[in-house]
Amino acid sequence: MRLILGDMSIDFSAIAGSGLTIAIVGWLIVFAALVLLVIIFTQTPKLIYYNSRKKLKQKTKKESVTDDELHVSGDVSAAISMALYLFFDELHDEESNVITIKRVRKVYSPWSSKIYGLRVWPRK
Amino acid sequence: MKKIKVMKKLSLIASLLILFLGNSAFANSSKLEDLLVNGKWINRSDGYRVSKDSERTVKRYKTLTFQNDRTFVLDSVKTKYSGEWKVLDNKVYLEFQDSKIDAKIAYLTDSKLIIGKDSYKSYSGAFAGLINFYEFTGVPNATLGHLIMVLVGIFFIFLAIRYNYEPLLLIPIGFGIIIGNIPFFHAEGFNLKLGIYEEGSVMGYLYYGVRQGIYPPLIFLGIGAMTDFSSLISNPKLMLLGAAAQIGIFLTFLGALVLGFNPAEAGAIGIIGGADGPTAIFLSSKLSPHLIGPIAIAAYSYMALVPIIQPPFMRLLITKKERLIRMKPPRSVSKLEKIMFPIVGLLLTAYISPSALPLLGMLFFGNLLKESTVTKRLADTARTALIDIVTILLGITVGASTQADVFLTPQSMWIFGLGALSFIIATCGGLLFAKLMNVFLKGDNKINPLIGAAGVSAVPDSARVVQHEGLKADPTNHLLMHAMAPNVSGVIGSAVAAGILLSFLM
Repeated sequence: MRLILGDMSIDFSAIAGSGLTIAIVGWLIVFAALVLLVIIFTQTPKLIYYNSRKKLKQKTKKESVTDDELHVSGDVSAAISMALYLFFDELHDEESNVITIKRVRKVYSPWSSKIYGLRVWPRK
Repeated sequence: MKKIKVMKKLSLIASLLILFLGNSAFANSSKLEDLLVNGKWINRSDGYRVSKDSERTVKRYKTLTFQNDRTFVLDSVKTKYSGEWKVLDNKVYLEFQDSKIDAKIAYLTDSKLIIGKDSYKSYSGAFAGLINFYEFTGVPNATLGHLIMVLVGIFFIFLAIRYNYEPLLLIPIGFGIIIGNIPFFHAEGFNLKLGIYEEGSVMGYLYYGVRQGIYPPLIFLGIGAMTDFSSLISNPKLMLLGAAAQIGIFLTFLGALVLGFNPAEAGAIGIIGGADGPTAIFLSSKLSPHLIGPIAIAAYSYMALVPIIQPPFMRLLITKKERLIRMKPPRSVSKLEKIMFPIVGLLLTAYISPSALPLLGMLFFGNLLKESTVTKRLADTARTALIDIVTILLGITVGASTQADVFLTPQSMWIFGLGALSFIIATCGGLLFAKLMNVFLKGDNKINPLIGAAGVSAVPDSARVVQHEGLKADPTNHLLMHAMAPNVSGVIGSAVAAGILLSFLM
């Protein structure tokens, strides 16, 4: 099959053979690889959390435990992490409460001058 | 007035100097032999091919020097020829040392030495040196193509600095384009060891990593060490979006076949739709090395232009109601699951598509370095210093590979067109598949179809675009974490697709 557009002709027979097969099979293989990953990682948590589920069932005396009961959601983890961070941030080491101000005399030297500093990054 | 007088005097001295330099060969010399040995005889003729593969020809100076000891040296583009000369009946007989070259006869007419079709003019040694110097500067070798490409390079740098579009890539590539398009003399068989395509040049050595597909796996190592797969592990069904978006690769492959590219070239062009620069370079280096330049530039420029390309199609295909869908927050993922993912992921994908092993192996290895938490130093190196070094080398050499005479071809323009189409198809594929998934999903399991656009593997740009578009519809609906799942699965999907194309077409 050929499509003619002015001076240009497009030959569709180029895809009729192996081209179309490669495209369809290729895409299906990509799908298959990722579907397998989906299946494995949907089932993995069930295996990993089998014991936890069992213990929770015994503890709560329920017949079934939902995923929400088993897992802590990302939001809850973030909230707990934030609370812990704020708590630990407020903790202080024991301090002496003695403040010492020490006068330092500096003699000017171009070697330590900020004017001649070479480590200043250009800013936007 | 005084200044003008001084200027006039100076110009007079300069003209006399030029006349003296240019014509000193003829001063006080009436005999042909004296004429021959004074100065250098220079010819400039066209017809030297730029390279084996190019039809373009360039002009080149040829210098003929006659010595008093009856020997001569002909300095041509490729080599120096030498031999002996003698004058008989006002004709100059040239016998070459190389017995394969026939002896030549030269005549002197109008102070020009005629050898065959070529005519040589006599100049002083200093002037001949100046001509030689001029010939090797950029000016006589510049073409319109070089100037266009320099402007393209500057445009890339502008996009990176002004709009912050992928600056880590566009700055090295843009500058590389400028480096690659500084004109210099080159002709077939004449190697200054300057250009990226010249054997033995420094740029050529650096480009070796691109040509042989060394840099892409190293980039993947860094990406693996940077990527957090937990959003994917917590909601594995989103991986399907990454697979759906790969339709761009395969439809563009068909499109390239229809346009007359051979299957290997079509496969390399199709991978642009994977929106993954390293994968595109890896595949094109294996399938059609002569197209690496345009394919890499197309892939990286479209990746940088994701914020411009994707939103119109997101708004076109996703209704306002769908854009408002709130997704269930992802569950927290255990360390064991995170460690299992790279191992299981590698085993599964590499068994299906072993040709993608360099990419997938390095991606999952990098991720294991990160998730194992006991190789922090290695993970840190992979995601900082290593990936930065490789990005610099990759960017600058890919940019420099766009030498105008190699890059500015109708084929490159087709590749750019197909690349854009590929990106659009991939985006639409992901969006439509997300809508399709929603038909089967119920309640709070429904997904916001906008995240389908992140199925193209431009990490993390397409996820960022999804977040941006989601916030436009609902300023409190954050989709970034959800969009990262199809985004990283797109990386895996495009690497698998590259492996499949490689095994089918190599």
